[in-house]
Amino acid sequence: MKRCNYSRLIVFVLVGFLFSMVSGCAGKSGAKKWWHWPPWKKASQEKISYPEEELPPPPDAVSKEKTGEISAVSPKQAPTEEQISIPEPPPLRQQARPADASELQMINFEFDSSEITSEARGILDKNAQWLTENPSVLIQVEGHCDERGSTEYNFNLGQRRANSVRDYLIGKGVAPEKIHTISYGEERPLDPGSSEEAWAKNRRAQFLIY
Amino acid sequence: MKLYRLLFIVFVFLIVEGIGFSQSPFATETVDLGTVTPGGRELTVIAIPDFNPAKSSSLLKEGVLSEIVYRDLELSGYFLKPKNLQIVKENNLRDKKAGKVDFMEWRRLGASFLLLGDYFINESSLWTEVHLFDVGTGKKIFGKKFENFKPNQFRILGHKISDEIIHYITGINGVANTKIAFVSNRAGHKEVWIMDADGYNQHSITNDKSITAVPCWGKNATEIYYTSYKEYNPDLCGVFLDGSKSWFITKFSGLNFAPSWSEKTQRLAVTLGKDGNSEIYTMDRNGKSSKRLTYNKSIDSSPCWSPEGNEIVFTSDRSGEPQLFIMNSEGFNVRRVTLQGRYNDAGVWSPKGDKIAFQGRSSGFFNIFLMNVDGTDWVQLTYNQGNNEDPSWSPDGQHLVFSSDRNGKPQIFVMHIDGSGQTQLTFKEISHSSAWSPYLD
Repeated sequence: MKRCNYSRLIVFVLVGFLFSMVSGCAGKSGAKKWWHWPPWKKASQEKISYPEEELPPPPDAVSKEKTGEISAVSPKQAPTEEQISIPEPPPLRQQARPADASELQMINFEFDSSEITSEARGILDKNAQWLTENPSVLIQVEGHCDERGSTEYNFNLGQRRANSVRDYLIGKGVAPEKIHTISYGEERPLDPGSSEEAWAKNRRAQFLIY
Repeated sequence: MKLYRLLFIVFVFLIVEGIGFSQSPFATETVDLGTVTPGGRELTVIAIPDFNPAKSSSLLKEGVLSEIVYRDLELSGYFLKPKNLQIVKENNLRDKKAGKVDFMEWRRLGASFLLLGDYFINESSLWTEVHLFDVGTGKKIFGKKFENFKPNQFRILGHKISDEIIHYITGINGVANTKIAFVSNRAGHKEVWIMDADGYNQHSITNDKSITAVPCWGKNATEIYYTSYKEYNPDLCGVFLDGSKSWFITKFSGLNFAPSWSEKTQRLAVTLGKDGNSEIYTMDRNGKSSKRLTYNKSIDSSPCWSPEGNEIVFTSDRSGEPQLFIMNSEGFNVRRVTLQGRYNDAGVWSPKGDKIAFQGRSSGFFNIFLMNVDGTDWVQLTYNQGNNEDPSWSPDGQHLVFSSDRNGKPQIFVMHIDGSGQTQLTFKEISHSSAWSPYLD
C-alpha cells in the first residue's frame, strides 16, 4: 500500500515538472523571439510636405515633458508658437571671453537630457535678469556633454542643450539676436576624470561674452 | 519495480530535456542583445624569406619589403607567418646555394605558399620581381615585376605585392594599399590625420589649431570632408589629401557636421543645425544645390549613404532615444531598423550593400554590432573591451576600423567582420573617428 502511494507521488511530481518545463519554454520563446520580428511596414510612397509622423515611444520610456512651461526641446512634442526656435543670428567669428560668475553662471544637465532642471531655472532667471540689465552684451551659450554618449550624438546633444538655454532666455525676454549657441559635444570637458562627479560637471551649458 | 521503472522514465526525460535546452539558442545568450562568438578562421601559412637584393644597398634594409608583405597578409585575415622564422632563413639560404627550391623542406615547415623576391634600389629607382609558389605541388602560381617606383615608395610597392597575392589566392581585391583617416590630438590640437591601412605613415593633413571632427573620404578619394572649429563655429570643410587646397562647404550657425560622401551620386549627406535642431541635408561638395531630407523636431544626424546612393542610414531620437533609421535619398520611406537596445548610433553601410555596422550601448558600454539592412541577424563583434565606437568599412567589405578605449585612451583598431583579428594601429595620445578610404587605384 505504501509503495503504491509513493509511485503515485512520483507520477504527480513528474507531470508537474513536465508542465512547468513546457509552459516555461513557451514563455521564454514568446518573450525572446526577436529575430522573427515582422518586417517593418514601409511608409507610404506619396510625396508629403508635413512633418513626418513620429513613432510611438517604447513602453518604458520616461516622459521628459513638463506641462505649462516653455520646456526644453522634446522630440515628442508637436511644435507650438512659443516652442519653435527663433532662428539664430549668423555666427560671430571671433574670440569671446568666459563670463564671470558675477555676470552669468553656468548650469548643469541630467544624464542624456537637455531639459532645464529646476535648479538650472533659478540660475537662468538670474542670468536673464543680468542680460536685460546689460542690453548691449552679446553672448555665446556653449553646450557640453560627458564622455559617455557616442561621439557624434554628443555633438547633437550639446547643441540641443545650448538651444534649450537659448529658448529659455528668449522666453524670459532676452533679445534672440543677442544669443549665439555652439556645441562642443564631449570635446571640452571641465574635468577629464571618469567619475560620476566629473561627468556631472561636464554636462553643462556655459556662457561667453563678446 | 514500479518505482524503478518510474525513476527510469524521469531520468530519460531529464536527459532529453537537457539536450533540448542546450540546443536552444537561449542557452548561450549572455547579454540582452543577440551575440555570436567570432567563428574560427582557418589561416594559410605563407613563407616569405627576405627579398634578395640584386645589388646590395644601404637605402633599404634587407627584410623590410618582406616584413611589409607579411604584415599586410596577416592583417587581411587569410594568412599567417610560419612559426619558425629561423628555418625560413635557413631554407632560403640552402635553396640559394643549391640554385633551386627544395619544396619538401618548405612542406615540412608547414607552409602552403612560398613567395620569393628580388629587388633593386638606388637613389632614383626601385623595382621588385616576385614569384609565388604553391608548396604542395611545387608549381609557380605567378611571377610579376613591379617597377618604376621611387625609392621612398617602398611601402606602396610592398602593399601592391600583398594585394596581388591576395587577389590571386582569394579572388578578392585586397586593401593593403588603402588608407585610414582619423582625428588625433597628439600634436596639441585635434587635427585630421591619415595613415596607411597597416598603421604606418601616420601624418596630419590639417593645421587648424582648433578642433576637428568626423572626417570622411570624398570625391575620387583625393579629398576629405570634415568639421572644423577653426573659425569659431563647427563648419563643414573640404581639404585635398596633399594639403594643397582647403575650402568651406557650409558655414551656417549651429552644427555643420557628420558628412558622408556618395561617389555614385556625387552628393554629400550632412547634418545641419541651422533650423533649430539637427536635420539631414544633401548637397554637392561645394555646399550648393542642397536639399533638406528630414523635418522633425528630434535629432536627425550621422547620415551614411548606401553604396548605390539611393538610400541613407541615419541616427534619430524621434522615438525617444538614438536609434538607426533608413530613408531614401529624397527623405521618404523612413523606417526604423534597430529594434532593440536603448542607444544605437554611427550606422555605416557595407560597400557590398547587405549589412550595416554600428555602435550600440548595453550595460553602460558601447560595442560594435553588425546587422542586415532589414534589421535582422544581429551580431556583436566586441565584448568586455571598454567602449568601441564609430565603425567604418574597408572597401572590400571584409574589415572594420573603429576606435576603442580598452587600453586606456581611445585608439584606432581594425578587425575582420567576424570580430577576429582585432589589431591596434595607433598608440599616441587620443585617436578616434576613423574612416577607411575607398580603393585608391
